Amino acid sequence: MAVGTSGLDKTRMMILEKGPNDEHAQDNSDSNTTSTTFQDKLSLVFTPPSAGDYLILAGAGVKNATSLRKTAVRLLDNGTSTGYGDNQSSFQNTTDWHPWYTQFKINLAASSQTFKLQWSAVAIGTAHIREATIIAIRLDHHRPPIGYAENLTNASTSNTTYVDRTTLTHTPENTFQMILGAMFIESQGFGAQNNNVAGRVIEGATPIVMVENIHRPSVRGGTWPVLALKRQETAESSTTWKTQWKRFAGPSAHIKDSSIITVDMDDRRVL
Amino acid sequence: MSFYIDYGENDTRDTSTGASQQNLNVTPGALIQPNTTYFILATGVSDFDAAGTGKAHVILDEADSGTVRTMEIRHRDAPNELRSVPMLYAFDSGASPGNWDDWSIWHWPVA
Repeated sequence: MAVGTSGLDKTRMMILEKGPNDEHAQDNSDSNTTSTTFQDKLSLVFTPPSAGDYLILAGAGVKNATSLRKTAVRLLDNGTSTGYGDNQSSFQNTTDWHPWYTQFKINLAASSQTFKLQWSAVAIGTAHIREATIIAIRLDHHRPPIGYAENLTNASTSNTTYVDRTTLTHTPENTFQMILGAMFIESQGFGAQNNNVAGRVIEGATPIVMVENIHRPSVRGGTWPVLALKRQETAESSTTWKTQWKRFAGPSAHIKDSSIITVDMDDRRVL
Repeated sequence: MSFYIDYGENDTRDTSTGASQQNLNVTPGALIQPNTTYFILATGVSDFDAAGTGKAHVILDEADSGTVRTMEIRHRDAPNELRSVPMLYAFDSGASPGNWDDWSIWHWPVA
């Protein structure tokens, strides 16, 4: 039976070799809970050899086995009790699996560090999580400069044209650059088309749209993660990247956990 | 400190009405060494032409080792919605790195 036509565009894939002092943890199994209190899915525990900066990346697939419900996910820095990427995915059907992703830069002391990927149901339903990964990339061993900007707190707009959230202006070295731009966008409406919200990542003065995401949640307050990924060999000229968001015609649009990073990458193939 | 191994991108939208459709293929080949750990960062933008009645499977797959990430994305406002699909994966190449050297992103519609 024909169910429709799927389309896919702007695909990106980068493969990195784990280096000295990088860390990771992964659990691909499907776990579920009816608890509305965060449960631990996966922990990354390590002690940095010295104080320094890390890029933390975390991702998972989530669902809710009760239709029209939400599943909450966050990455908890156990040392500071800070929840990163604390957002709620909404689901129309019981078999939908939606992505969750967050990223941020953090300075860590040379003491034991624990990051916990956690999930919970929201009000009711059975919340599932699988394919969970946490990666910590030691940044200060990469060739400087590293460009980074973030606005992790929640902001809203009633604008129907794109509004800037995070701006990074940076002059990379003329080598391989890994560029990551990410955010969650959220609508306080659902169902009707005018409740759509949008987020995008752009590059340059005459903007190149690296990724654009248009989102209508199944449940009020449902969020969606957005990731732009790019490799480029940049001349040593100043470049500006921005995350942006807007509403369409309904309630205000929200943006959270917005960040952009550019990292100079050593090419393993020529070392 | 991570090391760059390989990268691919595709800005050409393609479609599927049933069969799995490969949108991007990255083949690091012999750059994948034995007993080494690698990270994969992947993303794409999914769309669908029938709101609510179907969903898009988007997967990250290795030709020998199989599918390692599966997203099943319901579009509430077809065909207008555009859904970003971030995927993270880590693997150790073990003794047979040839089983980890041919990566793709595929998609197809399901009920």
